[in-house]
Amino acid sequence: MKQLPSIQSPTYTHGFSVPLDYAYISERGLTKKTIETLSSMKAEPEWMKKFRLDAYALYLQKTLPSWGPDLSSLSFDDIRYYVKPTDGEKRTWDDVPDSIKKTFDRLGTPQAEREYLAGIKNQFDSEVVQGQLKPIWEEKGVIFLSMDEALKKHPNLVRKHIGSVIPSGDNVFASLNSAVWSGGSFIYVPKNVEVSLPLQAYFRINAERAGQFERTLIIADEGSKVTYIEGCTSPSFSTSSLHSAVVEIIVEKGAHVEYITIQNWYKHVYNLVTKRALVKEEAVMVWTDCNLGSKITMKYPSYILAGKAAHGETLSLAFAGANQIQDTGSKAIHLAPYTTSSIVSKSISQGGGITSYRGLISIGPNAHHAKNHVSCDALLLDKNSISNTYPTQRVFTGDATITHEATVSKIGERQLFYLMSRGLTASQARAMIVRGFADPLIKKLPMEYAVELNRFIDLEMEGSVG
Amino acid sequence: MRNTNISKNITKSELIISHLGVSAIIEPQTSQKKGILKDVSCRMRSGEIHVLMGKNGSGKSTLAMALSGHPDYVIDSGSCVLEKTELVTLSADERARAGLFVSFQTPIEIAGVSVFQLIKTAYEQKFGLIENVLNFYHEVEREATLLGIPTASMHRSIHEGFSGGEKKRLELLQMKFLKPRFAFIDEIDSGLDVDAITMVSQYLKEMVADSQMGCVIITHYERLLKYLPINAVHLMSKGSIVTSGDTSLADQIMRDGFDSVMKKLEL
Ligand SMILES: Nc1ncnc2c1ncn2[C@@H]1O[C@H](COP(=O)(O)OP(=O)(O)OP(=O)(O)O)[C@@H](O)[C@H]1O
Ligand SMILES: [Mg+2]
Repeated sequence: MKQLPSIQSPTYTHGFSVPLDYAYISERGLTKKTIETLSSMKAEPEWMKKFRLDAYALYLQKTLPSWGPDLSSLSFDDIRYYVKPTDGEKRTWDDVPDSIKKTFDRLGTPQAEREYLAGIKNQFDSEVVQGQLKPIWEEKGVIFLSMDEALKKHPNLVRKHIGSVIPSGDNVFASLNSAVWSGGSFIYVPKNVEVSLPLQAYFRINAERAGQFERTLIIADEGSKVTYIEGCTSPSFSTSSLHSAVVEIIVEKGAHVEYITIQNWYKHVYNLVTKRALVKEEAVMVWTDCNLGSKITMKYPSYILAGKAAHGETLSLAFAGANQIQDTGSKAIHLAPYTTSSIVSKSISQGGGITSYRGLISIGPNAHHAKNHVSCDALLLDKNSISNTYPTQRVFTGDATITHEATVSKIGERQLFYLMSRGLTASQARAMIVRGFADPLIKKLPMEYAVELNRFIDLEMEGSVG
Repeated sequence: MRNTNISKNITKSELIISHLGVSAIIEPQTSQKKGILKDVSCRMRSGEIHVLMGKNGSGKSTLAMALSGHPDYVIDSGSCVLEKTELVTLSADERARAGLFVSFQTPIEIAGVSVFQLIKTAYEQKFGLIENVLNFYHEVEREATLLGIPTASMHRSIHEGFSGGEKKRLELLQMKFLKPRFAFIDEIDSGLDVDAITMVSQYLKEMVADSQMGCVIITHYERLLKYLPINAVHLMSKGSIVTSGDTSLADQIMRDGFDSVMKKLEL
């Protein structure tokens, strides 16, 4: 494939792409034929092909959301819906083609893999190219596969759960993903197994105009515990790419799942993602969601608190620079008694960037004694930047406790001055204030990611002054 | 770092403020402003301690803040030269790096920026990368202890939730590590308990002796002064320095009050 020149952005360090001989690249645009070819290339069972085609039929009936950011500049017909880099997933690095290996090397993922991860999956465009789970977890019955592999090895588990939390007809992007999904992770953690180290997936778009539609399904059986981290980056192409994932999580009784995202797509990627967890009795779901990159992100990680005393938590950090819209938030659906949820959203806008918090709190008629707390803090770094909040509450019980706090602050000229009076340059001072603002969230991230995030803020602030 | 005998190597330098006029910006949009300081002149050499006194609202803090480059103030006229460097045209950070430090009367809080992080970043900006951060941390802890600041505070956000007296000590702690050539110390003694005043003045005295820093102490009380070797006392009124003298001027002010001193001087 011909490599197109990439626009180098001074502040985006992941903007390179590697020339590569792809095993398969679909024509631009989406037809029934695209889906049939994709499904047969993957040698999928008939039911999955039908699942896809049914979803495609739903997709054709649906229109883009009438609310939220304007998506009219996204040309669905220009996207390549299936871009397959290699034949098959490799278990070790040595077997991965050099150019792909180099990409992940430059992104620093293999280093991270060594010590502190229980397992890893690296996805390049449409396919997972490499993956591994440490033997001790394999022995305990933990399954960590690419979704495609899982479909081959555990078809019944996949068939039972896929689309059970997010049906194909849920929204237009869920329909699209259900029709063309490829890659993503499948995780099953058996009863009472605690995976003490995180599982990680790294998503990389390499080809121009490539769409990435990974599908992730996590099942944490009763009393189990797992943390999953995903990172996403892409080359700095001037044309748009589309990333539209679906993530479904089932948190069984007493289980605990934490899902951490560091999204740092280049500024031409549309990131339209549906994430939802079904949380059973006394189980806990935590979404830690950092959205730094992309052109437009629409993502509202949700939990359906279906069992008594289930708990959901969202920690989200959004950063919007010039020409970026981060439309993020969370949805807490309380269906059972004594369910609790907490949403902490922090957003930073600069250079005309727009961040919006869009949240839904729904307390159903059976959810007596439910509790929810939402706190949204926005930091505006200049006059041109915008922050919005769109909270929605639907309460059907009399005794729910719901609290909502929202603050919008401008970066304080006096705080900047104070730091500068200590000899810090304007950009150092800005970076320090922004980091301080994001600190409560950064503190919760694993070390490697915290470092990465601080570096991101420093780079952005350097680019923003002068 | 502490007590290293660098005093011998320090060249005598001067801070010369001449005919300074300063306005406060009332409305940033309309750039509406109000004149506060008129024709302020004063000079000080390194190693000297000067005292600036004056009624509430006479303009003492304005002088310190305007010199440090505070965005609420503009310098309309005059100059301030620190060792051949004209400060007035520099940005706040450049003034700091030129060797000026202001310990503010009411320092601002910054959430999420820890005391240690600030000191470390400011230190590295001025003196280069710290190789052994742990050692440096212990040094900061040691100085904090000398100033009576609990070492656990090093990880708290700067000035957030600290008491009035603690804030003043945190300003001095930063000053210690930034090693300025000249410092304005604004009402360091208000909010300090009696024991703390002794401690802080002892600390200041050693610091001036060690580093040959020149400093202007803004105060309403003589308590601090009795522990410190004072070279000059300046009296500010309505935005100007109306008279200067030695410690006897401070004594006179403390005994008779501003109005009576002014009357005697026919001001
Ligand atoms: N930003 C500002 N906007 C408007 N007026 C100001 C501003 N800053 C200072 N002033 C005015 O300038 C005068 C001098 O204030 P300044 O704070 O310098 O006094 P001070 O001598 O430090 O007093 P104190 O002993 O009470 O600390 C006061 O009348 C004050 O109200
Ligand atoms: Mg004052």
